Amino acid sequence: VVVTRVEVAFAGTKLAVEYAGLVAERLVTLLLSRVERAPAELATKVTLTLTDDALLEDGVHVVRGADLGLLAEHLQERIAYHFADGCHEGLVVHAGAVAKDGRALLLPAQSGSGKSTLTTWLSTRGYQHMGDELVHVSARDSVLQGWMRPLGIKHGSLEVIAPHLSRPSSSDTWLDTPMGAIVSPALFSPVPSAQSALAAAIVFPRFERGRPEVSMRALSPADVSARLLQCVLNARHLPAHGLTDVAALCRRVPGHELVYGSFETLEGRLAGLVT
Amino acid sequence: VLTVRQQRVASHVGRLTLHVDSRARPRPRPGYALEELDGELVVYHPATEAIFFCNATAALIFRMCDGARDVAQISAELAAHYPDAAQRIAADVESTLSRLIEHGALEWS
Repeated sequence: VVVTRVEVAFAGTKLAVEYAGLVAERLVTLLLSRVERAPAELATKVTLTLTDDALLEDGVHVVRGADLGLLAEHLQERIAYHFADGCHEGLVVHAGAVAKDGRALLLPAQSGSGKSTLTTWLSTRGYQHMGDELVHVSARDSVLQGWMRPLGIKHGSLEVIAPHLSRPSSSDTWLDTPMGAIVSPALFSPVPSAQSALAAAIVFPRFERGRPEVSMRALSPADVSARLLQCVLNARHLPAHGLTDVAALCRRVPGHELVYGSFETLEGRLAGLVT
Repeated sequence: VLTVRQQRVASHVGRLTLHVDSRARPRPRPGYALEELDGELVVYHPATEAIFFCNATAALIFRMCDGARDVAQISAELAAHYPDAAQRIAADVESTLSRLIEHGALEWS
């Protein structure tokens, strides 16, 4: 059996993924082809092994089964956990991010808030996709770096975003999963992804089905800090549990609350934040 | 006035008002980290992961909770500084303190 090894990195953490088999290879190509390759000098935090019917972490089974979507979700979950847990400098935020002309919107949110839906839609509208799950924020210079995984769109979001996507016939860019679908940004984004960009604004999105109008209001820096702190995943590794870094960022970067029920008029409201 | 880490807890914020004894002396619970931004406060407790946002009014009240002043003194000092709002200050103080205590940011000394 030929085993192939790729080493990927995010926010200073290196993970190795070993895989064997055609199915596993297809999965790794979809999930990891855009993720930054790790420099040799970084120590490997953990090795994930993917076969056609199992995922193992340092030799211990995480999940068994031939369901490709299930394997993909578990692999994404383990990678996200280790990328967040391995970061001891800067903030790892549960957020989406998109960029235009080198200026980025950070879209932090709890699960189910419509973060991936908004990130996906913005990526169809000329914004560069940076990520929809983990974003590393350097509090020193406000530079954002996204985990360049494919988009993870849940069933509820798929209904909303489907009219803006055309589903391909091949599975190279689209994989159905138990929770929805994993979709490569290459499928719908007319512009290449951006690995890093300067934060221009922080927007807390909330999708409300059926809401006719878009509501966006500016938040005070302390309000933004409290909301953002709820989305910091590596707080326990940081001085003052990330509060100092979060406050420093929020003193420089304005924040807004966005509530929307459709994409109409949304583009104009957000465009002003990145220009 | 307040936000906390767990959304299910946040949904109760503002609905409950505990009885506040005007002679009681509130003080911050140990272990909290504070950050002030433009006169407002972010209060974070690492052990409980509770996060509080205090607007300018709540931040002022929180700052006066030093374990020496009682609730009546806090209200009286604020009323002296803000005579136009004196009518509603006692109720605001009581409401703010009850929320901060409910969510564990303050305790009685």
